[in-house]
Parts: sequence; C-alpha cells; structure tokens
Amino acid sequence: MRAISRRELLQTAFGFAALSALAACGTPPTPTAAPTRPAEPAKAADAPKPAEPTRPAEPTAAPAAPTKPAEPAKAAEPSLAATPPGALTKPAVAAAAPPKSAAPVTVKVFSNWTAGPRNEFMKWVKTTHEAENPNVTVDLQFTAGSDPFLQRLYTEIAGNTMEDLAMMWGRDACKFMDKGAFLDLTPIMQANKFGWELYLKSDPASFILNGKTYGLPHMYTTPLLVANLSMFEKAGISYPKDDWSWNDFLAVAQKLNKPGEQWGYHGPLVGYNPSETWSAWVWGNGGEMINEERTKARWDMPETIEAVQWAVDLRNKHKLMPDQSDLKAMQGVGIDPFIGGKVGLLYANVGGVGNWNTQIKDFKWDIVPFPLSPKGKRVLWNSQSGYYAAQNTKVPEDAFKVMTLIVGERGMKQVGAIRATMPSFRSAAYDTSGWLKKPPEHINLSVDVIDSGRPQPWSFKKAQEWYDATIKELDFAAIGEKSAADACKAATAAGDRVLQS
Amino acid sequence: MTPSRAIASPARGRRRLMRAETIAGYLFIAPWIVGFVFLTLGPFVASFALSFTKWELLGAAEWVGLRNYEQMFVHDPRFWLSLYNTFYYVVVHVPGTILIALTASLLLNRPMPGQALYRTCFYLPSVTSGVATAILWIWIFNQNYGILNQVLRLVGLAPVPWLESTRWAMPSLILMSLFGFGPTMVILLAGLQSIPKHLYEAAEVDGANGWARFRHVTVPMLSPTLLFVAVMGVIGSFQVFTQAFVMTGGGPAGATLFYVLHLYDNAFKYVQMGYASALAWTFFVIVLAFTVLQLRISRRWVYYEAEPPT
Repeated sequence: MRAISRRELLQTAFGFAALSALAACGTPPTPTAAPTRPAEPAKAADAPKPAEPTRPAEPTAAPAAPTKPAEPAKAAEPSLAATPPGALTKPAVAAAAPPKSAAPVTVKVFSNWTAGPRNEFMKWVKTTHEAENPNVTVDLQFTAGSDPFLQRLYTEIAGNTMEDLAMMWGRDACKFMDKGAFLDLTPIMQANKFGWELYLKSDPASFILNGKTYGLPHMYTTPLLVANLSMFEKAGISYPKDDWSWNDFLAVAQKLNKPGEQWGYHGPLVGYNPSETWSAWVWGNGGEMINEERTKARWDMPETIEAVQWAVDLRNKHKLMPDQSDLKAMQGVGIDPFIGGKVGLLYANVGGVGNWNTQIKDFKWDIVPFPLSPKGKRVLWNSQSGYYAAQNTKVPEDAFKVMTLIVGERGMKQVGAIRATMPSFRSAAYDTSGWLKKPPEHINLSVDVIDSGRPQPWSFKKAQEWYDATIKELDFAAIGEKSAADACKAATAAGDRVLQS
Repeated sequence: MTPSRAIASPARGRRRLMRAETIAGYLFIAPWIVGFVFLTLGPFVASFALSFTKWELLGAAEWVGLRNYEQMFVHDPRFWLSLYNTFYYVVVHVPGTILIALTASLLLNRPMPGQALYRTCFYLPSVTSGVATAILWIWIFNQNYGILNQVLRLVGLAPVPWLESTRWAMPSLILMSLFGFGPTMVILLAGLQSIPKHLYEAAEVDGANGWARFRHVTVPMLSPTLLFVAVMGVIGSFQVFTQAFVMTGGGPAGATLFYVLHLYDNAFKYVQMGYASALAWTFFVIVLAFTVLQLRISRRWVYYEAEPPT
C-alpha cells in the first residue's frame, strides 16, 4: 500500500470539507414539495362558511363578568387526572384515508405547549391526523417558555425557515403580517368553506390585514374574578350578586383581609402588561388607555386617572394585596397564593381554570362576576393567540388541514374538555360537556362577558414598546411613589413619545 | 551541476518546506478562522451596517443613516435611564467586589485551619446557577419575611422595601452581585501567592509594619492583577443582565433597567434590529473607552516587576 503524504492528506481533507460545506448549503430534505391532494370538503365540524370577522364591540354595560389569572396561572397546567371522559379520544382510524400511493408529506408544527395536558393535546393532534392521513407526518416542534419560544420563532422567520405552522399571540404576529411572513389563508379558507363566524368574537388586527386572513384564533383569553368561597363562608359573606359594585367589592375584600394571614385581594399591578392590569378598571369607569387609531395615549383622561387611583389604592391604601416581594418569593418556589388558600378574591384569567380545578383540594372556589364601576359599567378585555402558516410552506393544504384540526371544532372541544385553555371556537367554548362543564359552578361567566368585551389594544406594531414605556411610569403609582394623576400624566407623555416616534 | 545550483537548490527546498508548513498551519487553524469569520466577525461587521438601517427581521433593511443614533441620544429616555443605571451599577459594584475579594484573599492567604473550606464557601455563589441564586435572594430581600429585614428589625430599624422601591432596587441587586466575588478572589489570591516572600522579609528587616508591608509591597506587586480584575470587572459589569431579567424585569419603574436589558428589549421584544445594533455599537464604544481609560490611568499606578527602573 502506498503511503499517503501529508500534502495529499490535507488536500483530501480540504476536499471533503469543501464538499460537506456545499452539501450543507443545499435545500433541506423536508418538507418535500410533494403535490398535495386536492382539498377535500371539510367535515361539518371543522368547516364553517366564509365570513368576515366581527369587529370588537364597543364598551357597554355587560352582564356578569370574570377575569384573568395573573402570573400564577401561567406557571402550571392542569393535570390529565382531570380529563373528562371522552377527552383526548383515540383517533378513529382513517375513514377518509387517502390512497396509499399518495406522496409522503411532512407538516411541521411549532408550539410552546411542552407539558401537561397541553402537550398531550399536541400529541393527540399528531396521532389523529396521521391516522386519518397515512401519507402525512406531523412533525411537532417545541420550545418551552415564552421568550425562548419567540426568539426561536423570530429567528426562523428572519431566516425564512419558519415551520409550516406556528402558534403566536396576535401582538407578535402583527409585527410580521405586512412583511410577507405568513401565508394568506383567504383562498384556502374559501375553498374549504372555513369561515370566521364560528369563532368567538376575536380581534381582527391579530389575524387580518388588508382583507387577507393570515391566522386563525386558538387560545381565547378573558379575565376572571375568582373567589375562595370557603373564605367567604367563614366570613359570613354570600356569593356576590351580578350587580355588585366596586365599593361592594372593596368591602368584601376588606372583610376577607387578615394581615399576616391572608389577603383580601390579589391581581396584577406592578410591572405587568398594563392592558391586563388596568383595562378592566379603566374601561369600566369610562376611561381609555389609547385612542382607536393607536396614535395617542389616553392615560390623562379623568376617568382613567380615577380608575388607576382606585386600583392602586387596593394595594397601597387598603393593604389588601400581597407585596410584590411576597409574590416573587412565592412564585420562585412554585407557590400560588390563591391555590394555597391565602387569597380571597383573585383577578386572573381563564388560563387558570384547569389549574384551579385540579390543584385546589382544601377549599371551595368559584368564578364571581366582576364588579360594576361607579358608572355602572363592566367592560372586560379579551385576547387571542392563533395559528399561522408560513408563507413559504411547501404543503399549504396539508398545513391548513392540520391547522383546522387544531383550531377547528374537534381540536377545540378537546382543548376545552381538558381545560388546556378556553377554546376560541364558538361551539367548543359553549360546549356544556366540555369547557362549560362544571365545576366551577359559574364557568359560564368566562364566556358570558365576551360579547360585551373588547380586545386588548396590543395588536399594533409598537404595542410592546408602548406597554414598556407606560409600565415604567404607572409603576410609580403602583408602588405608591407617585399619585395616579402624576403617573398617568407621565405615562401619557412616555406613551405618546413611542407612538409618535 | 554548477556550484551556484548546488547552493540554490537547498534554499529552494527550504522555502518549499516553509511554504508547505505555512499552508499546513493555516489549514489546521482554518476551522477556528472560518468559525470566527462567519460566526463572530461577520455578525460584528453586519451589526455595524445594520445600525444605520431600520430592519424588522423580515424584508430588506431600509437605510436610515444616523437616525437610529439620533433616536438614541435625542428621543429615547430609556437609553439614558439604562445608561445611568448601568453606570450606577458599575461604579458601585466593581470597586465593591474588588475590595471584598481583596480582603477575602488576604485572609485566605494566611495559613489557617479550614482554609480550603473557606475558599470553597466563598467561591460557591459564583458557581451556583444564576436563576437559583436570584430566587434565593428574592427570599432574602422579602419585605415581610426576608432575613435582611429581620436583622434590621432586631436592631430597631424599619424594614426596607428592597426590590419594591425605586430607591432600593438597585442597591439590592448590587448587594446580591457582591456575593459573586469568588472568581476575583481566586485571581487575587493567585497574585498574592506569586509575590516573592523575600520582599516581605526585606521590608520587615527595614522595620515595616503590617500596613506598610501591605502598602509598599503587596499593592505594588499585586497591581497588575488588580488592573486585570478591574478591567474585566468593568467589562463584565457593563454587561449586567441576568439579575434584572430574572428578579425585577427592569423595574420597579425602570429602576433596574440596565443597558443590555434595554438592548435585549429592542432586539427581541420590539424587533427593532437596526436600533438594537446601534445600541450595541454605542455600548461597544463606551466599554472600549472605559477600558482604554483604565489602561491609560494604569500607567500611573501599576508596577510591572520586569520594567526598567525609571
């Protein structure tokens, strides 16, 4: 055997390296650009008629109202132990299976539902779709946590490598809708007779731009006011009436408050999304946070200032709420003050229902109406996440079929039944054997407030920046270092600076 | 064969060998060079170019000239706030860390029982997960039940809202960071142990007391090490991020909004990559200026053993 010289060795190595680099620059092998099957008529459950999305209603006096779980609700997820019979059912095998000769297709789906029932639901989507479409592989991609998930998604969008489908909040999606990141679903929705009217009233700005639909609603979030009824009973307080007022609410919270032992009320206040923190109080009181055109902050409205002062007084004057340091300390070790039985009234959101159902064992709890403001109004926010398809997906129709399994009636009913979140699909949200199944007794309040609610003002490009500038100023009021009037004045100026830059 | 050829041929052979060895050398370091060029230098240069554009991740970057810098210096109060907060942190944290680390290293430089245990204990906070440490400190700083306020109550002082007030949030983060003095302590300890013993003996013979030995032997001999930890400390402290990201999110009311957190927000929350690049380059210039300044000033106080007497 001839000995190889160093030069030859290096030349060969270099050659291999160059070839490897060239190979790496090639097109990734999946998903294949296989021709997709012609769209089949959608099943009754998943195929509504095309329609325009409804505009959000103007604030009105609403019936009973619920609210949102602040930080705690995000932490854990309901366990499968609570899964009602029939939830996450095994897929019926392939009645509508395509011919076995159909070319193999891979649909990549990106989500941050990495644990608990939410993750089980994603697995159900994969199993079900693959069973019904043997030529399709659903490739689930996950990244846990909000920030890492978004960082990966943004990077993929920038690199034009977004998965075929990805879940996003409307506030994030709207940053990319006009940039051609997402597939215009309008034609495929029309072809599949899939319309908007079967969804709960959602924020068009999160999904639609210039008449084109880029996403479909998935999680639907509304705020909830939740009560520890055992604490109520002990204090001799009855379940609140639908027309109870802010002052009634304050009186109840004060009665439940026992310094050093339990808090009368807990809700978002410091350093939190101002829309969720303040809108229930501000809108109810007839105020605004930002104008309709998203060009001017409205924190300087007298009604807004009055509402902010009232909300911060709950903490600073009436001492009804846990300190921020208490909350952080408890969150750090996974303690939820409401689930731990230390909070009488909690301002949270529907995302917490599953947790409360499965984790609260030692006391009775229920959703109670949000109190009416001195103006006699109750206006609650709502927000939606959605699923969006990549503009450059090679398998648009297959991707759409997977999307409609996730956000269509079948998927949404599963989601509601296991309490993974409140479904955005109307019939699933009102499903009495699913989302509306008791307990809690007044779960209906989560959906009753929708028609009178308003979308969070977050689906505009500078929303996050505007929020952060605003939070900084309103925090001064929240921690009691400034009056609401001064903080709101500064928040208006800071917000305007962002909006007008 | 002529004599001239006989001489030229070995020379050519040597040149060929040298060339071959040079090429081989470059090929061996090629993976690192390629990685550096594409993964570090490339983004570095690209970010400079991007700092003159408006780029929201997708689509073409729009050339805006110096507008990002104008926005930063003229229209962005959070830039100035974050810069102020970062300077505050650097100015207190770096000297504080060096002082504590120097004290600890001087103590540990003496023979004593359990020395290794102390070294381990002092170093431990530096190798503990940042998030775990942050959670621990959140409990320590707890206004109602935290150990710090318990101590204050014991001595008759009012409890402090450590992380909940704009006045105390920054000192709290600095206090927490000071416990990460372990790496600095180890470097200084190594510096102390490299000081020749005969210098101390000579000073002692000359009648120098402990303070004089410290001032006239330890400090000058340790000055290059002190310069090193000061430069690295300043650079590291300018980049402070995790504590605020985990513990305060920049609050309350922006009291702990550090520069890198502000940069992160612009890049990954607001998707303003052009503006974030401008922030990054401004930051680079600031850190570079401070480093150069430190090195310039160091000529007055750093003593290098090998340098010729002046």
